[in-house]
Amino acid sequence: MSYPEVLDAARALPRDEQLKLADVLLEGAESLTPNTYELPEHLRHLFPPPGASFEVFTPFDCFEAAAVLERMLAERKGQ
Amino acid sequence: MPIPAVYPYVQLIPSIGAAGWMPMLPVTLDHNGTALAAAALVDSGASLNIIPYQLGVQLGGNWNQYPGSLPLGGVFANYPAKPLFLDVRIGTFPPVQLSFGWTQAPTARLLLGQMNFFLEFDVCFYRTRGEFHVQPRTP
Repeated sequence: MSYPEVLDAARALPRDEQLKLADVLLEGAESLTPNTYELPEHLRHLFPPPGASFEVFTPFDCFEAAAVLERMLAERKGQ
Repeated sequence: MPIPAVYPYVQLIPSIGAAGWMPMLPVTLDHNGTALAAAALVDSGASLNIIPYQLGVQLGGNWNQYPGSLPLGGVFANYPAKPLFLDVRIGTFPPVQLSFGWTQAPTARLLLGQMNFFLEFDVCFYRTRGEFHVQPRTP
């Protein structure tokens, strides 16, 4: 049964059965919780030590370079 | 639709309080079979991905593979830069080829920016909760 068919069938249900259906669907949605990622100890060394300075210079205006990379990437994917 | 991976903001500079927490993403960078684990700043304000020179060298990148120089501007304008293409693995997601501006600027960090990290991954920042979510783009 396709999604539009399911939707039509659900809309045709009596109100109380629509509510029961909503309960079932919400119960399923709650099981779709994201993978929770805790930073493992063995990755700690990847980050600067506590208290170290961490200057970041953002290349916010490198549009020409971004366009060059986009073109080169497309060429590589086309090969 | 893939379920997003959830990463914590990392406190880089404890002395400045809330301002010292940054969205740092653990990644595995692979260049022709040479792989390195690294932490990249997810930088939505960056117009492209950036990799520092030394990190590219450690991955076996060939600085002279491409003639000319990548026209990086701003604070990187005075330093030579080249393109570098890496397979990047994030969490359990399949590796994705990302392009980087490979710069000799000493202040460069490993950054994931609009071209092309944000073209390959959807990212939601939940700063108030101290976490961000990453998932591959949906077709």
